[in-house]
Amino acid sequence: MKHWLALEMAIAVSLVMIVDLPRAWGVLGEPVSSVETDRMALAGQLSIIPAQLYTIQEITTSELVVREYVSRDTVFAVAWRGKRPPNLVSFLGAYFQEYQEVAAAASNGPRMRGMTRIQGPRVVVETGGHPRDIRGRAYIPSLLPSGVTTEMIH
Amino acid sequence: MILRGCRAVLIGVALTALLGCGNSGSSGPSSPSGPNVLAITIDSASAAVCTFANELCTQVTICQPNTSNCQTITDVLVDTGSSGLRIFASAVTVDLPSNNLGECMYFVSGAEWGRVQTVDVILGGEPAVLVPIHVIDPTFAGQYTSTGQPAASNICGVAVVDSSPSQAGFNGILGIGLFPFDGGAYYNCASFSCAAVSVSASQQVQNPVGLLPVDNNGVIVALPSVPASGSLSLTGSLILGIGTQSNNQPSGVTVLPTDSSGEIVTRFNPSPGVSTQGAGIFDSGSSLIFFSDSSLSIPLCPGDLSFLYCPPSPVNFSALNMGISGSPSSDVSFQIANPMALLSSGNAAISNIGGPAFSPGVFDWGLPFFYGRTVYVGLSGKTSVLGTGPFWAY
Repeated sequence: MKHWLALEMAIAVSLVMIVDLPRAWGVLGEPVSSVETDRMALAGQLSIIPAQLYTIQEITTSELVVREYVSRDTVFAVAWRGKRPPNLVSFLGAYFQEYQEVAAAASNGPRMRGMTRIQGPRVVVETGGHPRDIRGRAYIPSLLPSGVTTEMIH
Repeated sequence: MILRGCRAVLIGVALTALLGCGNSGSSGPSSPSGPNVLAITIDSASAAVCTFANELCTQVTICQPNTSNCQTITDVLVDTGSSGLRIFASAVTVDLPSNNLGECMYFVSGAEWGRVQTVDVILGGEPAVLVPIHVIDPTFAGQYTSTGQPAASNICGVAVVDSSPSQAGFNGILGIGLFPFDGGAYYNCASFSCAAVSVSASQQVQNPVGLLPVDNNGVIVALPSVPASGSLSLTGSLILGIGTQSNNQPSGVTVLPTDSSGEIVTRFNPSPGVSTQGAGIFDSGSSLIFFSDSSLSIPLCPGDLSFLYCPPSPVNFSALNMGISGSPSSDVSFQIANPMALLSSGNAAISNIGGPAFSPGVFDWGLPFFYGRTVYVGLSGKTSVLGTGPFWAY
């Protein structure tokens, strides 16, 4: 029963977003209802993985797995793994611009190649893996529930 | 820039030695020669743009198809972690056939946007191969600005794309990894608008090695060893083919078959009695050994070097590399030292630096692993005396 209500709400929210086209369908820092919008955009399967301190909403497509970490009805972290990363403009939502500004500055920073960690004032974005198995995660440190460590986000 | 601390005083070798700026030219495997051998170097003091620490580069020749109108491209990154040749449009002077096919290619360090164009590629003294390459151009189809910022729709969905040779640190990337195709995302583009498209295998950017007439079953990366204090420069060999010529016959190597994404199994032992198992890769395009474990308490370096481990004194580790099914296996010891002094010495080849793997479960054997080793890259679907690829061997 509860799930049906959540689905109805998700459909309602996504319809609003379809009408309101210029708005990004971002999830990081947004209510859990935004996850369904992402699932529809990726045309993926959603599964819900309960954990002690949070819930994982996992979206799976043939080329990508995205996990959205939810606590207190808010997505506090997103992790991904696949042949290619998800479109971070969408997944970071309101936090993308901050990420973009810090990453652009860092691309002219210390000169080495490999896994990267971009730390902005509010958001952290880390990327790793390799071509064919790109992995990464983004999280909002101030929204991490008590007891949750970054190792849990993957 | 801290990694370039010694360049200003590199007036001569004598002066360099006087100032203690580092060793150069360590001894190593004897240099093979032949048409299937490309010199590969780390030489940040004299390279134009390939100047990062632990950045291995070579040169390749591209030609307008079926003509002798050719150009040598220097400062091309040697990358066992990807497949296919990529060159910045700004570094290309020969006329190439136009094409509306765009591509996003994602690397761990960033992303490249540009068009796909077919050229003749000449590796070493091998015959030319006709192959689609990625011509990197942020402004192609109006998608990004000349500094790599999103312009139109940010089609690659990333913060920034590589914008120029000087920013990226290379004129191009020679992907000589395990696979014949590059796995990028392709788009059909008109001016200022692109749409995702599936393309046939022959239209995709391809590993040119697989198209060579004889030496097409993989490559060998052979580099000299580097002392714990680092080396100012070094030269090694990229040898095309495995067991196809007298100069590429393997002996006494462990062959580690991979899964379909090029991963082996690596079991890391951070301390006695503690081990974690994950995916292992060998990536000459990574500057460090990237690894993590929740039991590790190595501090990170300060400020914008926080992607590096900064132990107060050198730490020794070991890890077990296994074929994807669990065998065979090979134990590898490595050391992580404090990089601050090593980097400020001006040495460009450094064997003992590492950083955290921000993707849990991936152990990235970057370029430090390759020093003092001969590493075999067995191309997927091709057979050699070492078996059928994909495999890594050393």
